[in-house]
Amino acid sequence: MSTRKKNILKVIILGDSGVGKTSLMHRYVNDKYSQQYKATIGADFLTKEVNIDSDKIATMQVWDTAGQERFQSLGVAFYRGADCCVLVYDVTNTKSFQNIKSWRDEFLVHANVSSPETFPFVLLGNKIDADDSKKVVSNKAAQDLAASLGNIPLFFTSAKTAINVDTAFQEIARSALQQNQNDADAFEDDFNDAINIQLDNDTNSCSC
Amino acid sequence: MFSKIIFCKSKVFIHPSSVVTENISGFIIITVDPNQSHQDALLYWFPENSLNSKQLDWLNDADLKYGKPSVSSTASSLTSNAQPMDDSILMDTKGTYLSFTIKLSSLYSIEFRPPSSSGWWFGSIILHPRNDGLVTLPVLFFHDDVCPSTKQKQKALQKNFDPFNAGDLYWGGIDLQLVMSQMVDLQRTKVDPNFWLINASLEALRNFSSKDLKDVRTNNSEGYSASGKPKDKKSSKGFWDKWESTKWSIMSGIATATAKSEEYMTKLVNNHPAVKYIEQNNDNPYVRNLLKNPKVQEIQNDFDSARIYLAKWSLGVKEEANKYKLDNQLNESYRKMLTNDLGFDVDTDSSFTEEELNRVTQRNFPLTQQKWESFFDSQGRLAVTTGEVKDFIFHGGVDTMELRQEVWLFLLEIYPWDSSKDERDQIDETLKEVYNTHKFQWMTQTFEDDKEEEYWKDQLFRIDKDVKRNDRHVGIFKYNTTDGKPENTQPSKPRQAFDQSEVPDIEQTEDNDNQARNNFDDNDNEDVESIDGHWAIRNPHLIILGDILKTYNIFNTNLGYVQGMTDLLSPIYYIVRDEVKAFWCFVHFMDRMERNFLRDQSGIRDQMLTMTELCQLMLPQLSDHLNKCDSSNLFFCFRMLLVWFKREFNFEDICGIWEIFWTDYYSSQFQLFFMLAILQKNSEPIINNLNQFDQVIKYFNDLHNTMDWRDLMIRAELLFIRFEKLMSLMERKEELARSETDPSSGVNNKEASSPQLPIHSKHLQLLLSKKIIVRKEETRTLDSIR
Repeated sequence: MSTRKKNILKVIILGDSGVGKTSLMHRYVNDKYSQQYKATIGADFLTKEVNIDSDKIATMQVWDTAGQERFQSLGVAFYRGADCCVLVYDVTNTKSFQNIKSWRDEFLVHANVSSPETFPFVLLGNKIDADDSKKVVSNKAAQDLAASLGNIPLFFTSAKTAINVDTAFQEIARSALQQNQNDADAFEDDFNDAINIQLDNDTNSCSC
Repeated sequence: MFSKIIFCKSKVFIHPSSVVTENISGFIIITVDPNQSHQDALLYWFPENSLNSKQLDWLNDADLKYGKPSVSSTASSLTSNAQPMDDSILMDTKGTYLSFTIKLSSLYSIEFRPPSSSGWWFGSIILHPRNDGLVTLPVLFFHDDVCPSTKQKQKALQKNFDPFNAGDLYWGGIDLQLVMSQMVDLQRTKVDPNFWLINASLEALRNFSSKDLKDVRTNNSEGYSASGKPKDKKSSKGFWDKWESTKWSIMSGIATATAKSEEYMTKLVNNHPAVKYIEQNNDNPYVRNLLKNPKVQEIQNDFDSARIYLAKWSLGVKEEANKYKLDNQLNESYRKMLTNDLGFDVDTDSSFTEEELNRVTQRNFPLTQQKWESFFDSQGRLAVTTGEVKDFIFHGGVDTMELRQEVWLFLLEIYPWDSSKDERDQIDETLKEVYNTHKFQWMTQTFEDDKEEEYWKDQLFRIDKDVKRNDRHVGIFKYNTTDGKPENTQPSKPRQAFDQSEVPDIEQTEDNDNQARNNFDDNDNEDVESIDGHWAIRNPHLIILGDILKTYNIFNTNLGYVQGMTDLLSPIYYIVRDEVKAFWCFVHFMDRMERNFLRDQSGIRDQMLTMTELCQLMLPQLSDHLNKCDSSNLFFCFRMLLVWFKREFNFEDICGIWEIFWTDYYSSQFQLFFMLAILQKNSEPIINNLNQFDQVIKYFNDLHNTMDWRDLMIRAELLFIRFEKLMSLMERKEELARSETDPSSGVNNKEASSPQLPIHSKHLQLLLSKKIIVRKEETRTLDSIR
């Protein structure tokens, strides 16, 4: 049914409202930050050309979503075909950290991914620029959580001061590409029909 | 009787015969009673000869003082400058030969007939009272050459002569017009530019602006060139007019040539008849300019660039072309375009009637302050039907932001339409008490249960977070200071920063506020806050927004606060600017919006399903295409429907749009027809350029600040009329089919009674109802989704 082209890496950002999903997206794609982003309603995305491991080029589509729980039931429409899911919490807000696991579960329920065990997630602790006195989620707790979610990559970021945002998205792009190729390979196995992934050098490097 | 004089003009004559010596010189004066409505102002004419010299001196004095009002006079400035009337004058002139008195609001119309420019005849006015036939008032002639106030003003105007200001010729009657237009609703008719209606009904206004009228200006310029005059200012103006209109047809042509080559573009421009015409007539730089336009060049050089961009650009050009047509009253072609875009299939039904098109496209009679006042009787009770008021609002909107402050309280049903002034004062009192009770409730809340406490704290946290990021580009919300104004650390910024397109302009009472509004441009460097999420709200308006939402959170405890509500409250508070009233307006608005925010999303889903069916029925081609794009769920409508287009239009536009929806004039779900109009308007670029789900979402998400809502509203109304006709047509057909076939056999009947027929859709049927749809949230438990 879906005729989505496979040369686009689709990344979904999830997390409680106000943790900085929109800001992270804008910081990464446009390298801009504003205090004036409104609460996101519905869903929106931005695209960026990414250079992965300095030899592969792909287009990344970063999807930003509304943070309030009840709006997630409409998420089905745009979770489909995701290649990576970014879970964001606010290091100054315990609640947003506690909710990370349910965001992940919610995503797996709605996105209908082929193998939930291997689907790539990346965890971001945002607002790391905040005063130390305001930080309430310890790095240790975050590392433990990342480990318990299947050793997923963890980054401490600040959309405001641009700390670690590029690094994190490099990793996100790498995971997404990997997933994308896995899916493509699975597709190939199923139908014995090659799908072109537009890469600079046409390696079929992956196989895990 | 206590009356004050606000207008006086001397040397206003009655000409009882053609004999000059029989002319009777007199005065026109207007008086008001400060304790009564402006609508009760009285107009007098009386002859000089009944007055003694002292009275004459007083009146001649008044002529100079009140005979030449300025253009900026308002009803309140006129009243506050007025002085008590010399009552002996009114006593002595009462009943004298030909003298008369009439209430301004008792006039139906007035003719202002300007003098001939050569001075061959005098300017005059004719007053037509409402109860025509009973009274005939004499024609009043303004002898400008002997009237001191008129002569003084003429002199002043000549001094400041502006050769480019082609306004109406000044004469004594203009002064009367200025004053009257402040006291009552005075509307010039298109049928006869000298003919003005007073407190006219919408029906009268429509009748007096026939569609057959030609643009007066166009006629003029044609007339001049036909007279064979050499190229003067007027004829070149006509030429430019023509150019302006062809320019847009060329631009539209280019815009639709999406994937074409540069060669094609050049050919298109060069072969356009208009270009040929221009080249033959004048060495006109427009084509070259057009091709130099960076936008056009960009398209030429980079035809393979984003399809979305191109689609949008093409629409933008068309939009401007249409706007041009609207601005220039090219009614005929605009109507043709509408009929083409939205008209009926000839096979199934007729097109729109003239009457329908007239009603829909004439949106130039807004509800003015004067008109609004004329609706109420002496007790402040509505003296016309709510239907008439709503007709005005639906088809013309509320004229000013200040007036909205009053009208919205009725539209949002804080005040019953049939209430008197006293009753409304009473309501104000009650609402204040009840509000404070609820507000006190959350301010002093205590909890027994930890989970319950967590819920409430979460909600307050969520509200604060959303309030902090609400419409921060709007003046009153911009600065996080205790007075809402920028901190006075450095000398104020230049005032040029004022952005007219975005700044709603009300609140003249607080002049200091101007500065906050002038610095309206997005300035991200202006870091008022240390870290977002961790600063305290100090701006008084943001604090009130938060308080209202927190009170609503406890007032409607099952629903509580949900993201998006801040968007709904923000314009209401901006207009009403009063915590208690804004709260209750919001409560009433939420009655109909509650279904958008339900935990299970069923209310918004319902609307999206209705939209899908409506789109299938009304825009089948687009509907097919969206299916192919995996977008048949119309997910891209979500944001627009959830907060009623708040994110797609600027503040002032949203006020204009919402007040129209609130009238429930055709349907309580008119927002869906507005949505349909957006789909219709964009269907061509979508069908031609977009073919995937994500492209469609992106296209719609990026529509903000690109749409002309007035044009969309006209389309929405026509779409509704068409929809209503289609529904009744289907009903008739079905009835016919039922009566023609034997109901028991049901052989030929299967199509007609098929439940798939749109007529049987509950969703579509509901669209014909004016009753608002209220769906309350179910009881909240601790486990409920938030």
